[in-house]
Formats: sequence, C-alpha cells, structure tokens
Amino acid sequence: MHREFKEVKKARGKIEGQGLVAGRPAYSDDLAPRDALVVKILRSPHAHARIISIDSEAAEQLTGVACVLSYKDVKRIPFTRAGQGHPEPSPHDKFIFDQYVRYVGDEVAAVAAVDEATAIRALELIKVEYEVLDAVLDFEAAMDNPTVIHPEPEIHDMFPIGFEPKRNIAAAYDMEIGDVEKILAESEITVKSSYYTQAQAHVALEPHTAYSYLDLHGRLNVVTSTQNPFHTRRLLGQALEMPLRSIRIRKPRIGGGFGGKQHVHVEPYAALVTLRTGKPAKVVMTRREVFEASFARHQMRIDMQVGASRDGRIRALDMHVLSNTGAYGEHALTVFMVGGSKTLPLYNKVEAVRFGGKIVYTNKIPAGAYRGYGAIQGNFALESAISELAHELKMDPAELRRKNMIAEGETSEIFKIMGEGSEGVEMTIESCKLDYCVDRGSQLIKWDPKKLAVPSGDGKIRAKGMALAMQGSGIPLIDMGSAHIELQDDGFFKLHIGATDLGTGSDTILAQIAAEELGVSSDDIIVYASDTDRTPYDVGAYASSTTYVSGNAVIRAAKNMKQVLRAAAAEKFGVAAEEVEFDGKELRTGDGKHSVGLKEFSFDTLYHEGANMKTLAAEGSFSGEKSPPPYMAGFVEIEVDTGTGKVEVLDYVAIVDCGTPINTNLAKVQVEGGLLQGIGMAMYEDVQYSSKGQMLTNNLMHYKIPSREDVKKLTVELAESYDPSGPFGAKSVGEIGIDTPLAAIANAIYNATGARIRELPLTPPRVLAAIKAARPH
Amino acid sequence: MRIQLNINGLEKQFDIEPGDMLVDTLRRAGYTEVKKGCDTGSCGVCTVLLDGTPILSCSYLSAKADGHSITTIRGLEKEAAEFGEFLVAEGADQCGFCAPGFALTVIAMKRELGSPGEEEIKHYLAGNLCRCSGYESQMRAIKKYLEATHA
Amino acid sequence: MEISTFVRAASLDEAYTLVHEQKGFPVGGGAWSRLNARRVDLAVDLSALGLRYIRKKGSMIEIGAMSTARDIETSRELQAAFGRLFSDTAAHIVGVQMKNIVTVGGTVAGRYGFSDLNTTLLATGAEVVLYKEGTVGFDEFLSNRSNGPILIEKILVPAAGLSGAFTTVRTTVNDFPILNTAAVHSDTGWRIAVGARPGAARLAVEAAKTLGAEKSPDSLLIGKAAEQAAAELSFGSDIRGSGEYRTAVCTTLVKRAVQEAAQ
Repeated sequence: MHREFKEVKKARGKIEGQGLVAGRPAYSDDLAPRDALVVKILRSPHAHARIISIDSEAAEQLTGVACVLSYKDVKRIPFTRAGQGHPEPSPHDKFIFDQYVRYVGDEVAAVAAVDEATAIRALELIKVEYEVLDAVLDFEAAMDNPTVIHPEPEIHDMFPIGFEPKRNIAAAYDMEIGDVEKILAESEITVKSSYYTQAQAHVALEPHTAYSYLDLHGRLNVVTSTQNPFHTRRLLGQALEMPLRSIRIRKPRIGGGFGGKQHVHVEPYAALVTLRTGKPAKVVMTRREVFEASFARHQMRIDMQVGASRDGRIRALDMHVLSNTGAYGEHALTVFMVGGSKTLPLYNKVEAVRFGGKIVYTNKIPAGAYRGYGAIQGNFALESAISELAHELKMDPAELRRKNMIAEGETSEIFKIMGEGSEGVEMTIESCKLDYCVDRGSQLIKWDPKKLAVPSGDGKIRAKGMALAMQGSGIPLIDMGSAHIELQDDGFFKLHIGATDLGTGSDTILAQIAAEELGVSSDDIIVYASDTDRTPYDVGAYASSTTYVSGNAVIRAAKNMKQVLRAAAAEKFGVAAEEVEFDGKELRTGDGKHSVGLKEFSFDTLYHEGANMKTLAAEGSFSGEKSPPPYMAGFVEIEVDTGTGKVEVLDYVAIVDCGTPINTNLAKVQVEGGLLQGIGMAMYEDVQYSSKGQMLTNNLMHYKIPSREDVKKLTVELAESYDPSGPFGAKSVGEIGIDTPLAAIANAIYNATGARIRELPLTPPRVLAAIKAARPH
Repeated sequence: MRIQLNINGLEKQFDIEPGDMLVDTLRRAGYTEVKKGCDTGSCGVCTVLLDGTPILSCSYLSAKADGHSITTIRGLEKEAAEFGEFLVAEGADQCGFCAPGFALTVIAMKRELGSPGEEEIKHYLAGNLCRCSGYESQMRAIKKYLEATHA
Repeated sequence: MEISTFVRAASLDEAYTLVHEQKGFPVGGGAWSRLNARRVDLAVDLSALGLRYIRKKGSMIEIGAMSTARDIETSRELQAAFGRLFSDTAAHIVGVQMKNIVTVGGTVAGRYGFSDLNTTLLATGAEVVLYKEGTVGFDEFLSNRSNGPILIEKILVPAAGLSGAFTTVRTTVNDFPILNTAAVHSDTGWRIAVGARPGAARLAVEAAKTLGAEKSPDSLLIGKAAEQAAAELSFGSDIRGSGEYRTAVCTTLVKRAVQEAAQ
C-alpha cells in the first residue's frame, strides 16, 4: 500500500510551464486566424422583454460587415448549455437566439465584421424594439410569481427533475432518512437558522473565447476555452442540428475555468458565422460580458435545523434549500443536490436526516457550475449551524465535531440515495483522515477552546474559527474517461487523453501516472489531450474527476500496454507471453535467455520486422463505482476591527486528505488557490444588481477578488492517506479547498464579537452592523 | 496616425487610431504574450515595461507611447526562463494567463528594489492578480529566485 | 476611448491654447478618463512639458501635474516633510503599474470621489496652480463643479512643520475606499478631510476648530471632534456601503487619523 513511488507523489514541473511564462501563443485568442471575422453580440438591456422587431439593415450595409444574425436566422431548438453527461439533468430551456430575452445580457443578435471596431459600430446600428415585461429579480418571490419566465411549450427536461416552469421552478428534490420531525422534537437542544449565500463570479483571468473555421474536409472546427470538449461537441451538434461527425472541438491552453467554462458559451455564435459565411470567426468576451453574460454561482437560502442531545450527540439534520438558477437552468438540480450530498454525510451518525427544496428561475444571469458546486453553499449553512450548536451546548466546536464526524470504515445512507440528478451509489469510506486533520489543524493554529478570542488593542479582536468539509471524486457511473497509449520509435510513448487541463496540470499528472504504471520516466511520455478528433472520450474537467476517473483510465491503458509489450516480445522471442517480464527498460524472459531493450524493440517493431511490423498500442477506460470523498479541516485566525467592521485573515490552516497526491506541489497549489477563492466569497465578492436587474458589479474595479496583500498567511498540509479505489491511492483535490472559509470565518467573527452573521459576504458594513446589533445595550 | 515604438529592441512603426490602447496595438502586431484580462486596469495581465517601468498597456494610449521603448516578456527571454524555473519548481505556473505580465513585474521589481522583503514583494506585485494559485506558491518561487540570483 | 486627433503639446503655451481655445481634453495618464467611454475630438498629451517633478521651494513642495502616483508614493521630499502620510495615501491605488500611469494632475482635475490623494491634498491645505489662470485653494477647487477647461500646472503643498496621517477602510487592500480621511496639523491648527463619502473630499471645519491649535489634544477632545466630523459632513450610499455605515466609520477613522498625526 505505501510503496515507494518513482513518478507519483513527486513535485514534477508542469510540462507547459516555461512556455506559458515565456508568453508563447497558447490561448484561443492567440491562435485564432489573423483574418478571422470578429463577432460581437448584441445583448439585451432589459431583464425581461419580448423582441417586437429587429432592423439590422443599416448594420448589414456598413462596409466590412459580413453578416448580422438573430432569431430569424436560426432554427429554434431548445438545448442545454450545461457541460454534463447525457442525459443531462438540466432542463433544455435555452435557444441560441430567441424572441424573448430573460436577463440583462441575454443574446439578441450577432454581428460579424472584419475587425472589432467595425463590429462594435455595427452593433450600434441595429435597431431593436422591445416590449418590456415585468422582471422577477427576487428569488424568494420567484416561485408561483404571476410573471412566468419560461412559458414556451418547446422546453423540456430529459428525465423527471421536478421541472415546473409555469411555477418558475427549474427543478426540485426531496429525501428523508428516518423521521426528522420526531427526532427534532425529542432533541434536548435544537438550532434553527437560515443562511444566505450570494452569487459569485468565477473571474478566470482569460475571458471566454472561441474561434471556428471550416477545414479542408468542410467540417466545422471550433477551438474554444472550454472544460468539456466532448459535451460541447454533442450540445453544439444538437443546437445546430449537425451530425457530430461534422464537428471537431479542441481545447488549447485556457486561462482558468473554475466551472465557468463547464458550459457551452460563445461557441454557437462563432459557429453560426462560420457556417453562414464559410469564413473563420472568433468571439472574445469582454470582461464586462463575462460578468454579465456568462455564468455565476447559484445564490441560495438554506434553512437548517439541527437536533442534538445535551451530551453532544447530533441526532437530526434538516437542510432545506431555495436555489436561484437565474434565467436558464444549467446545473440547477445537480448543484442543489451536491449542497446536501457533499455536506450532510460529514455527520453520518444521525438518526434522521432530511434534504430538499426547489431551484427557481429569475431574470438574472444564469447560474451554472462553479468550484464547490453546491457543497460550498451547503457547507456555510451546515458548519455555521454546527458551531451554533456547539455554543448552545457550551462545547468546544472542535470537540463537538470530533464526536460526530464520519470516520474511516463507516458509511452514510445518503451516498446511496443522493447522486447527481438521480440516485447515487452505496459506498464505504475506505480512507478518511478527518481525525488527523482536526488534530493537526488545531495544533498548527493553536486552538484553545477557552481562548478563541483575544483583544489586541484599539478595538481590535483576534479570534479563531473552524469548519470541516468533504467533496467527491468524480460522479460514479456517470463520469467516464479514456486513454490511449502507443509506443513510438525511440522508446517513448504517446499518451492521448480526452481529459481537460485547465492549467491545473492534469496533462502532467496523468503522464506521471502512466509513467509509474509502465515503470518508465515521465520524460518518456508525451501528452496530447482534449481534441474530439484525436483523443479518446472524456467527460471533461469537473466534479473533481480528472485524477480519479481519467487517472484510473490511464492506469488501465498502461496495464494493457504492458500486456501488449510482453505479448509482442514473446512473439519475437518465440515463447509464451507469461514468460516475458518488463521492467520499464527491458523486455526479457525469466531465465535470461532472451532480452531486448525497449528502445531497440520500438525500432524493431516499427522498422525492421517485415511482415510482423506493427504499432504497439493499448487503450483503457474507467467509470467509477464510487466517489471517495476528499476531506479537510479548515482553521482560521482573524482580526476583527470593531471600529470599522473590517476583518483581516491572519492565518488559514488547511489540512487536507486527498488520498495520494500524484504531484505534491500541484495538489498543494489546488488547495491554496481554492482557499483564496473561498475567502473571496466569504469576505469580498458580491454580484450586485440594480432594481432593474442590471449588474452593477460588472468589472474588476467593483467586483473584488483577493489580491496578494489580502491574506497574510496560508498553511496547507496534506494528510498521509491512501484510497484503494483511486489511482495509486489518489482521490481528488480540485474543489475541496474552497469549501471551508465561509463558515470558518463567520464562526471566528462570532467567537470574536458574539455576532452571528448568516449572510455573505462579510464586508465591513455587514460586520459592523452585526457587531452593533449583538452588543448588549 | 503613425507612431514609432522600440519594441524589445526593434524599431517599429504602427498605424493606429488616436484612441487605441497600447495592448490592442501590440496584440494586433502579434505580441500575443501581452494579454487582455479586464478592460479596467485591475488585473495586471497586460503589463509591459515602458522605458523600463511597468505599466498597464490596457490603460495607456498608444499615441502617448510614441517614441518610447516597450519591453514585453519576449524581450526578456533569459530572465523569464530563469524566473520561470522557480515558478515551475513550485507548481506556481497554473493556467499561465497571469504569468507573462507577472514575470515582467517581478523582473522589474528586482531591478527597482533589489532584495525586497515579503511585505514589499506583496505590495509591489499587488496589481498582478492571480485566480488559480492563491499567491503562496508564487511567493515561494519569488523568494527562492531572489535569493538564488542575488549577486 | 475614441479620439479624433491626438497632439503632444510642445509647450505649456501650446497646451493652454489647445485646451482653452480649441476644447482640447488634457491627457494626464489617461487611465481614469478612458473609463468614462468618452468621445474626444482633440486629446492633448502633456508628457513633453517637463511637468514631472516633486521639489522643495522654500516652505512649499511643488508637485508637477505629470508626477505619477508612484512618484508620490516613493518621493524622498514628501517623506522628509510628511513622514508616511503620502506613501500611506498612495499605497492603495491598484498596483505599481497603475501608479506609474496615474498622474496627480489627472487625479486632481477629475475631482474623483474615490481618490485617496485628493483627500490628503485637501488636508494639507494644498493649492492648485492653473496655468495662466491663477492659483486656487484645494477646497475651493474640489467643490467647484464647473466643467470648464482647465490646465493644471502644479500643486503646491505647504511643507513646514506639518504632521499628518491617512486612514481608510476598504474591502480588499487595493479596492476603492469605502471611506478615507486625512488629518494634518500645522502651525495654523488642524485640517481634517474626509473623502469617498462617496462624493469628493470635504473639510470637516467644525471638527478642526474643536481640536484647537494643540498638536496633541487629549483623547476626549479627539473623540468629540471625530463625532463632530461625522455629524457636519454628508454621506451617501453606493454598492460599497450605506450612508449610515460611512457616518459610523467616519468617527473611528477621523479619531485614528488625528491620534496618529498627533504622535
């Protein structure tokens, strides 16, 4: 189990690192043909309106304009943009162009011109007459609102998800284990609170970009900044009514995703222009468009109830969620379900647990996938409520968690009941180091339950708070990845994978995995990925699936490759395949009579063996039968200025159990990056709207992500852990880092001031108001 | 109007509109290492050196730059590779979109401040946002780089 | 930004003519003005006029209009005269690259509510020297809402015997301020300026009078003056905070600024 690895668990440098630092052309806008038509999109200024007429004549006449497209030019086919497996759990409620616009930013028309300035000028010449409709902007007033956002009859779900668009409901779900009401009634202590989490913007530094062209075979080629090339091919084919064999999707380097690019985004508009004109076309979103018209995190209200006995046994958990999916239902049901399925099992020894609620439409930016994917919102509510319970019990919050949290070898019935959009799978937890994580984190932050808050002078107070988290490793029986390996002349291997490197380093770590299994060096593996023409299928980078799912596929391919090598050498030696061994360098028989070096063998098979020449290749695919959760304990030390409400994060300690880290550096950086993104949501980031549904925070001057001066210190450690079902014991690490800061910081503020804040972000005005309200008069 | 810029040591002429921003002029001329991230001067991925001083090319009129020298990361290949090694060694090179502008600013910082401490480093680089790395690995890389290259 | 004609003025006189007689738009750094998505017929570049200097002249410090925010942050002259006041003020502006572009003239001319620099300049009792149009006190300049043509040549800051401090509250370190204050003591007494209200900076005149002439007033008096500042000024709401919040926090920030300046 804990063998010595040669390639895995090493801090290998990313293969593309130096190239990116040097600024070599790598991203979609760097690679787009110089003569590509520039496509600009006319977007709705209204939150809800019907397009009465579009007059694009003046725009079309402008010199340099190739075409102007609107709903008149596209067949009206409902589809979903959500990058998910088929059948998608998201409603098919979106049209490339429609006669209705449902949020400020919704697509109205597209202009293609020879350059950006002409395209922008042409946009201004398009005359649109709107009938402005009432807009639903308050998600708590959306359900059964007289204004129906999706009255159109063509939209549909792919299977029952509780889709009731006439009630502005995109999806709904309920489940109960045991009798929650009964146990709550019996509980000696109960906590009942409602929590609000806000919409958050991804702010990947590269804006959404795609370009398209027709190749020599007349096929539509799209190069796009995407997390899911294969889903995009399928969804685009559906929306454009094109056979999949006529479409090629490629992902080059992309400048971050975090879930924001786990959708079809601008590709249809580039594609339409290319199909219409025969010319290359590109769409590059401005930062404002990314804010207003890509996707955001689901805003939620979460009503929690916790029931416990006076000795600190948590007996019942109830989580009720109202989620705001915005104008379209991408990822509506699944984000919502993860809010419960990847939080509640943390306290698996309860006698009863209930989860349910609804996801509603509003006339706001569509919500979609975003790192954490519901677990971060659920975590804020659950981990705040647990600390509220600790206070009621007058118990150390760490001790309460130790007493109730899930342990290795245990299970939760929730795993079986709640999957993603449908049922899940039963799962025993084969690796869980939460106990170590809590102990080690307490030690590093110097957690003393009697001294969680200490005044530091001038109205400032230093305080500590904590939270636990879990996530998943891919979606069992739904996520699938494949790998091809091929021996090349000169004794190296081609590794072709569908897996999607967002900058996370998956190309690098999948090569490490292949190398480890083959017994060669990572330097002997060249990687090519994310091309629907050239690489095998992979669902893409989301649900923390790449290491676990694609990694296991790579191991299978490598194992098969070794069989192929041994069989081919056996043929050459004239022996049975079982008699041949391969140690990464040489193929030889056990008795030593026959041997050949790998390099020499590669030349033999490809150049010299006459009628027996062949390419030696192998394939491997994997879909998980479980989704072993990574776990972490987060501890924060803050300083609250009671004079201004300003909170400084002094230190954030994160102890993470991700199973074996395939690359120790890259695993750590995933946690550090996730922490900052979670701290951003906890403290600074807030998508805000005007009363007319216009986004006020539509640029980086007003929407603030943390800068490097904002957090004093991050301390991240990985626990020693090994999950037998994972590739060399690995689970996942892509999302777990983001989940804990919301509750940990809110808990610390409570410990400092007695002010319990249940809304985010924890900006100075919100914190000061809460401190004042909590002060005894 | 026509302007002249010395870019990475080469004298070049450009036909521009008077209102063009430097980032667009540069990208159109093929200097795609200068990135566009935000349009409001907030993120730093468009950083170039103007007469050796780091500026945001998205917030600088090309016309104002007439007659001046511009350095992109391509003009500092050796230094970029040198610093790049330390970034790669920490795993700090994630999506890479912030990297050219960030590396340029680090090199400028080294020239301007010599051996800055952690607070000084954070302050100098505050205008270079990174969404992927959480900044810690970048700081580890910078410290090691400064130590290793301190003459 | 759409500009029809761009001219790099070769002399102050030429710049003056272009601005005052041909509706030329003076371009300092150009960073803030372009965010207004303006269409400008004639842009006048001031970078060749030798206006980038920070120098001591008698009891004043002259800051040329084309000095950058970075010049302000790192200036030895300003540090010698004011200690950390100006470097603290300029510290929050986005980052080094933006500070290398943003000019003092552009910031002052824009009368921006979000400006930290304007608040501190107001508190020092600075004066704005308009080329050929005379010298205007900073308070008067900021309060004047006219949009007529102006060409700022330099800012004069009295530098003898001054002690000042700058305080602020913001979400992230380099966000726009939710509120900022500067308190400066000279031999004529105190000046307290509050900016980002969200409107442009104003002097808390009554609060300053309350403090009297003492460089180190007692803490009760400081507290009283701080409350007075919050009461005598007006505050509004925007996406960063409400008027109530700004009022509440003004007291804290003014108190701390005075305490720091008094040391």
